[in-house]
Amino acid sequence: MTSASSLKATARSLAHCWQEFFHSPCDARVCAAIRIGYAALVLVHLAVLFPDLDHWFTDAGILPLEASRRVASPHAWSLLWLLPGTATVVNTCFWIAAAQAAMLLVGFLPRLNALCIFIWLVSLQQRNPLICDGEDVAMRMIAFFLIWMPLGNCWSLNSLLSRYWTGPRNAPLQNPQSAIHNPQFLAPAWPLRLLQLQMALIYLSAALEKLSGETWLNGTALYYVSRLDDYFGRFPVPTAIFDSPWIVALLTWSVVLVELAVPLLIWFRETRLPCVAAAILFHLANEWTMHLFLFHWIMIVGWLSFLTPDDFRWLYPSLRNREVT
Amino acid sequence: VAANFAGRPLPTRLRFYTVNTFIATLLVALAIDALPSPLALRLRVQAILTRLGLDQGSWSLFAPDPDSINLRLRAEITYLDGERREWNAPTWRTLTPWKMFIGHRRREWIEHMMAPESEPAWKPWCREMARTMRPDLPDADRGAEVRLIYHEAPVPSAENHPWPSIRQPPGFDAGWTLTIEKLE
Repeated sequence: MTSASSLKATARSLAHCWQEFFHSPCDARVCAAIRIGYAALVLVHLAVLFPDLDHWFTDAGILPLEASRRVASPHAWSLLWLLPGTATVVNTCFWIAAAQAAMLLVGFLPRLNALCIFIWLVSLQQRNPLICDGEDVAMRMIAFFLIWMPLGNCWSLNSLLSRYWTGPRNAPLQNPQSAIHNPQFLAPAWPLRLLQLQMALIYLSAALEKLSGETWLNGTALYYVSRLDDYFGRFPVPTAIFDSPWIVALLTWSVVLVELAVPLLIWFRETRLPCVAAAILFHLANEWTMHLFLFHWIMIVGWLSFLTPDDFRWLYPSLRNREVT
Repeated sequence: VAANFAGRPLPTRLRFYTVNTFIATLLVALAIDALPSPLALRLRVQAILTRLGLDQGSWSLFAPDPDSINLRLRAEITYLDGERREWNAPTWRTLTPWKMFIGHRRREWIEHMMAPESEPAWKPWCREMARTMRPDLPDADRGAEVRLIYHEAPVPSAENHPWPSIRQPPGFDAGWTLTIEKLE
């Protein structure tokens, strides 16, 4: 009897935690910041693709349709497989995708445009998977989570148009800091929570993969990474750092430590900010030393999901003083 | 939120249940795909996730161990008229960060080409190479033979001291033939 009621209480407590975690309101400005950062990166991604569109994606290019289907997963799909593989069609699709990324950036019908960006990214990646790597997967996954987020509540053309139509009565309050006092900034948290869990999953997966390797445990992995000339050596670093076995060992273990600790400790109030800072510093350091295209910037945008506008209160001392008085 | 939930109207409650089911299903599927899990289950889940455009696999970033070999690709093209041309992959360390940035897709392509899974792409790539190496010749690829060669430069074992400097360029071997493509 006691154990049954205890089980019931535990189940109820778990259900309560679930609801609190996924359904408490979050600040929509965080979603808006992610939207803006993400859309800017998609535009850079598309701009780099543009000069070689015919080369990568048309039937006259490097990977005709038949070869594309053979190298892609048998379960994959791509709109570009259904459309004629001509330069005109591919260029038209590209400009539609670019326009939708621009609309996502300014927040015009942002969720619909996030859905379209997701479809375009899947289509481009499956049409030619041989030019893709981890950053493309991260970009595609974030697009999926954006579809569910309240992207247009603030800092968007949608919110501007909505204010124009409904008039000043429904305009947001003037205090830019407090979401509690501004219902327009409140939104369901679950899509943001899914993105946070996705970011934690990436780090945890990477850490577990590394723990099964010998070189990450004996501290020599970064010796090998630093001698791969297609990845390493983006900007100058002191030679002594990567020529010294004990410094390399410390750096190697610190990578595993960050990838293991951040996804576990970032959920606690006391360690959230240090974890976000560690993750961002980790990516910036990698960005300095390695050629990984947009991977680190996409990851940084993803980690922004753990920040709240309150973390930036120190930027507004005058407003803070006014609130206190 | 949870406390006030029981008294809500049916459509609201249904929406709530639907969202919770969606969250739970998605999280379980993503975890099976990205974290260590039984292979059979993983393959089944991956098939579904791929159909949804949500496949990610495990994040093996330089793991379980980073590569310990630098690789280069080279192609020798012999045209029908006997003319020979050679294509070489860029020497990465001589390129500026900007060139590496905008050439990222080409680098990915070349790296993928060295994997056996890319075999279906070898012939069309060779065809494209034969054409671009002689743009003045109409149907240059017709009858051409392309030999793809890869060169290896193993990174010396970390057990050997002193370590070579990161500034030391890799020394590549004489090369191995990846494939010979005869183009019709």
